[in-house]
Amino acid sequence: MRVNGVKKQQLELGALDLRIEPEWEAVKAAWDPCRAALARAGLTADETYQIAMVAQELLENAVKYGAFGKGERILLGVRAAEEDVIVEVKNRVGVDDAHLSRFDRTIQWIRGFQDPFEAYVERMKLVSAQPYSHGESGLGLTRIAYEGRSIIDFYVDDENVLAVSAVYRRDAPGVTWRTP
Amino acid sequence: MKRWLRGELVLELLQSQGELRLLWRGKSTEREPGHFLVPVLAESFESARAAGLPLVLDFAALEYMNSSTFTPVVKALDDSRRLSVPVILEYALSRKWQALSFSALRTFETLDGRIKISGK
Repeated sequence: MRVNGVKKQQLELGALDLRIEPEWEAVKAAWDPCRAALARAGLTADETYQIAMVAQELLENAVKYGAFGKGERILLGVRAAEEDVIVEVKNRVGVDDAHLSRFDRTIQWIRGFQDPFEAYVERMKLVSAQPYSHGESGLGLTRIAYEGRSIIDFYVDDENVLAVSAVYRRDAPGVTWRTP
Repeated sequence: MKRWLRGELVLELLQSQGELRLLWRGKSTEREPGHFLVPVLAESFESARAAGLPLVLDFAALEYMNSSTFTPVVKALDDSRRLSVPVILEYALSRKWQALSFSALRTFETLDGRIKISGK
């Protein structure tokens, strides 16, 4: 798609790169810069909220399940384009990390649903049926797929850095996002 | 009225005619929100049961909650069944995130009206 100069400049303003300490409070501080960058790129308030939520959920996962050496940070990248917005979170993970297997299973499980709303409802039912615990529920990833209307993917590189991306489709044509 | 504060989250339990209302304000962003929320919800349900009133969980003014916060909320709906306390979960249709997330909780509504999910 052709992008005129002004629009291109606006989208470039929506680029954000943050190095974040793997601490809970530091993750929360990413909310405002994320929304501000996306607003500069011309996204609506609802869109900036949805994408900031996606970033928060991914960053929370990084803090909870990452394996950080001294001084290592979580990397958050946000890139806005005319048709989509990509949120990418990178952090080191442990070798043979059990979390990665569960992470992969959850993403495959979400992909098994045609409508992310159905995945979200099903995940809520699973949470309800399980005894209360503070462990992994998979609700965050399912929320990203449904409420954040994003497609999640990931890879792990040779240095055990996990890169998780969420692609938010703007005005996703042909996709029915269920509303109440 | 009873009030609880944790981080950016404020909860207020108010009694009015015919209901006990737990108002949620601010943001729920704790790493393990259940540590704070489970006892508050248990106390609210117990108060509603003792007063013979339905409990309204009012999220309309809430600005944000992380996914970890949904777990104690969903489990609270289970508690309402166990304690035989009718519960109404209210949310704001004007907040898109609430309209999307809370509408999914309609799966827990019961035909006898003991659990209601209501967007306003």
